[in-house]
Amino acid sequence: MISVASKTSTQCRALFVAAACSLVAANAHAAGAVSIQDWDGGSATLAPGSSLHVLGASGNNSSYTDNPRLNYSSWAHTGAWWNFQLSSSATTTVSVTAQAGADFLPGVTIWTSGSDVFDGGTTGFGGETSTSGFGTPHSLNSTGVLGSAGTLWMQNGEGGNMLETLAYGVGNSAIDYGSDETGWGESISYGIHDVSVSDAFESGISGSASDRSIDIILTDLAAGWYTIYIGGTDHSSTGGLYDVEVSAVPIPAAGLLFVSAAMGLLGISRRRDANAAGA
Amino acid sequence: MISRYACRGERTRLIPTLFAAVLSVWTPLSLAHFGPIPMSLKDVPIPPVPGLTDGPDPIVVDSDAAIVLGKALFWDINVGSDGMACASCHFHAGADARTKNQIAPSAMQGGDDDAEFDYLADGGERGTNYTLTRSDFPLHQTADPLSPNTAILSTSDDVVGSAGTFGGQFRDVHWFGTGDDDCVRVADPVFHQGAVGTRRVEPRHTPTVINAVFNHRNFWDGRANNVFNGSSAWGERDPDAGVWIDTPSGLQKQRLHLINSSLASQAVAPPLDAVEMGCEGRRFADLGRKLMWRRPLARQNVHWNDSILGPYARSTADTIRPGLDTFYYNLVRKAFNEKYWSSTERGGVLGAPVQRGRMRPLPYDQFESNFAMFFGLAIQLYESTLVSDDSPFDRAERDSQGLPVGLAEEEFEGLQEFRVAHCSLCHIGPLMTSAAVATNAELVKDNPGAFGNQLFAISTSENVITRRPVFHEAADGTIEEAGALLDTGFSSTGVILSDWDIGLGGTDPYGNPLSFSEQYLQLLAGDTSKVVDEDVHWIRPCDFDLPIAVDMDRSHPLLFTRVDGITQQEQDVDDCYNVAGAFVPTESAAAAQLADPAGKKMLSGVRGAFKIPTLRNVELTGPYMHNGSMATLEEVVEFYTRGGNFDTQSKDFGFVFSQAALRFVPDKRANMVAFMKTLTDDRVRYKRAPFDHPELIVPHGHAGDHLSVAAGNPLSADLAADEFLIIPAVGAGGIDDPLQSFEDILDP
Repeated sequence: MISVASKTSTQCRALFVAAACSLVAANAHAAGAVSIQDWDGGSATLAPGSSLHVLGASGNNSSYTDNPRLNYSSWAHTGAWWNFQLSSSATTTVSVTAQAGADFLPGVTIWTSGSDVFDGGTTGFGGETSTSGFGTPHSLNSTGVLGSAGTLWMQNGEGGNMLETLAYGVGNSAIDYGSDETGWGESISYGIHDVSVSDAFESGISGSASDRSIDIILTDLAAGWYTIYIGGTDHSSTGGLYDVEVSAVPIPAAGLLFVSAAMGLLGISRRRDANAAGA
Repeated sequence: MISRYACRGERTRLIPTLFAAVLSVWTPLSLAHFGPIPMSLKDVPIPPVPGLTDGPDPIVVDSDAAIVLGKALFWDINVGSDGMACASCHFHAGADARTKNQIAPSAMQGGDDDAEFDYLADGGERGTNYTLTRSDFPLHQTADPLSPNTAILSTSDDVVGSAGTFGGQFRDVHWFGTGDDDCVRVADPVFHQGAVGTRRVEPRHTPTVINAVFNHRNFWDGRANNVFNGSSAWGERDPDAGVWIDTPSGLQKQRLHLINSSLASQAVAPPLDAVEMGCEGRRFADLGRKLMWRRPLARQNVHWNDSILGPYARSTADTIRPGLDTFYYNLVRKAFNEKYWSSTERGGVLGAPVQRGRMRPLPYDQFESNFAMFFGLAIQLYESTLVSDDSPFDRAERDSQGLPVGLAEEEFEGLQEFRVAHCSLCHIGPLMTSAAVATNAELVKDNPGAFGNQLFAISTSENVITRRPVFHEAADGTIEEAGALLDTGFSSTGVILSDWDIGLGGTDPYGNPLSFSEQYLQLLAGDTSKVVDEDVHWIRPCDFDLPIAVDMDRSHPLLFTRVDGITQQEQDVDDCYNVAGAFVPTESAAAAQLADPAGKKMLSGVRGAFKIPTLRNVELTGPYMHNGSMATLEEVVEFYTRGGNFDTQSKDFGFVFSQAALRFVPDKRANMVAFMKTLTDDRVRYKRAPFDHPELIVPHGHAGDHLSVAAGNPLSADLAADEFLIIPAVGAGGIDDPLQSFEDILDP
């Protein structure tokens, strides 16, 4: 669903890209610029009716925003990254909640890399340098559409294979940074924000935020790979433990009928193959 | 924890087949892990010193004899004016583990109260001759040592340093016998109890000499120049430096320029320092005169089986005796090219000691006049043998990524935590420090993974500076971020306020900045007269981590762009770390920024920065940090967990920041300590060759305590009687009881 920002057609609109786009970056294209963490239990596959969890992740105070030393931009190597693969389309909720007593106010962004797992992006792609002097993804733009400054390192066709920024949420009511304040010219504010520029991966973004917790609901999320980044949003806090849950709603009854029919077709198909093999 | 096993080939097979499909998806990312992988020190070559022992006319003609000379000089208590050897502060895994009379009342430069000792956390006095206890550490204590936002219970600009001399004004040396120097000694205005003087304490803690040969510069503030000039620590900066050559037309003074010789530069400083080893005003020629006809180690037993000194020892397997069966004069003549000692001339251009009585002193000769060179180079060659490359970490096999195989699980996990927690960005390469500039620059060519990966790489080259975002103190005193030039191998981590000890931000006696970064700023602004170290001329901007200038039409707050005026770097761009940074500001743009108090493009991050220490044998080299303020590795890990003690000038805030994962998962901290303990070489722990040594008699506080001391030192009635630590001579086979950690030595 198109909302706060519109996608630029120019990959070089980056406000502070510190090199001409024709310049080859410091590092040749090579994936793996961020480290993806494991879900509790290991598997990253999310089927409708199931959920993925991490209980008791450690969150630094301001890895998502609010660190004045990064001009309030995200700090990839001090926050946490997870991937999940939705096995079939389902409305999906991403919840991040500080544990009781934890001095942690979360921020979260969700991107999609479509049918392929996120390759991790490329460090320093395009020579981008934020106003605070950090290259990507040491500092990154986690709230802008892909193609804006601070996102080239992960964007498909540039430094990575990410297709679209879908949504972000900030669980700190004090956060409201404008594009003239931040490291990449991005805006970052409290609440749930729809950043998507197409309807290819979801049909709507909703949810709720409060200080200490975020729920982002992605309606009719398409099957495929998604990446989330989580960090703190209060530089004056100490950081603390938090829980993450990604859950896909069960397929409704009507949908189940459809699936049953589909499975029936599949079974027929397999039998035909078997027959063919035996012939 | 798939990633852990995926990294360890052997264990991968244990994972049920069920997970194989998941692994195949996850492995590429999980394997990446964060940043540089510390590497083994085995087979790592020592930086070469062209002209020292090679070439058509080498300075040293018998390296073995030079190493004998160097080891004797290093351990000989006759070198100091009042009984201090080099080893007196370097006897415990190359460092100093004494616990009595080790406090200096202020940091090196400044301090919050200059020469006043601070009170203890419990309100008690902690003055001269104090015996440290476990509860004194860390010197900076907080309510929650793991939390970045916590009450400071106590802090201190005191330093747990190293006790040295009583000081005094030098008068003369004794040519023969074993006596201490003739000095006018009175009670020190700072280090005293009532009217009784105590030994002075160096206001930085002694770093280890083991593996120090790999450091581009030595001393905590890098003032031991990479270039040895034959006379002093200052390299090309010293206009009077030089050595005397015996030529057919007489003695001629020549400049000496030996690269990769900061150990020699370092070695010649303490003997003349009136806190560390010498009386005020003593010259190296005086020391040469004192030692030349003495037996090496005349007052110390030498083990018959000493790995280096054994053949010269007067001891036998049955009887231990002091000294070597030779004289320093003979060892110098055997080791060094005769053109440095063959002249019989005295006086004239060589000068004479200062006349302090009615007797006119005997003028100096060539041997005496070149003694600084003999001393520095012999000790450098000895210390070059002190390489500890046989720790469990070094012995471990490596997998295809360069990760060690066969460490205990907690040790291996600790290594990975060490990387994730950003430690390996500074404690990098086989020495675990970026101060090993030449070695790392050579190794990165064939071992790129040791210096970074896609997640995080550190530019590693022959550049002696780099550029990164660090804290900068604005004109109004506020701390803000800025891009700043940093000397490679030096960093500010916020242990103390930078004003308490400015470290690398200091100057030499000639008014030049110690740092390369400050010189490079002047070079950019067009003032080549301010460049006093040749390494500065070779700095290649495209190897900075953060560029100083880029080819871009818009302005940038931290980088020069076309808006300011830029030009291409002079050097080629072959293998640049970041080719986009192959630019420099025009001289006029640089000069304008340098003159602008609000400018953030021409800054250095050197004030309060110190040399990044090696972590090898770190289990045994406490107390830690340049101010000796932490007693245990656990306290060090807590310091980094909370993101340092202070947000101060030059702090490398991108590398030192509060880390929730370390805070909330105690196992991660414990594992990191377990990993660091794999860096201990048992030859160091058990003093086996080459880490064996002669007997050492180390001043260790004075009779009495920190409230009263007894006078009666043989040197002067005004001085406190010494207590001594007697460390027996040990042969190549080492000792049975291992060296203890500093924590184990401390009283509870």
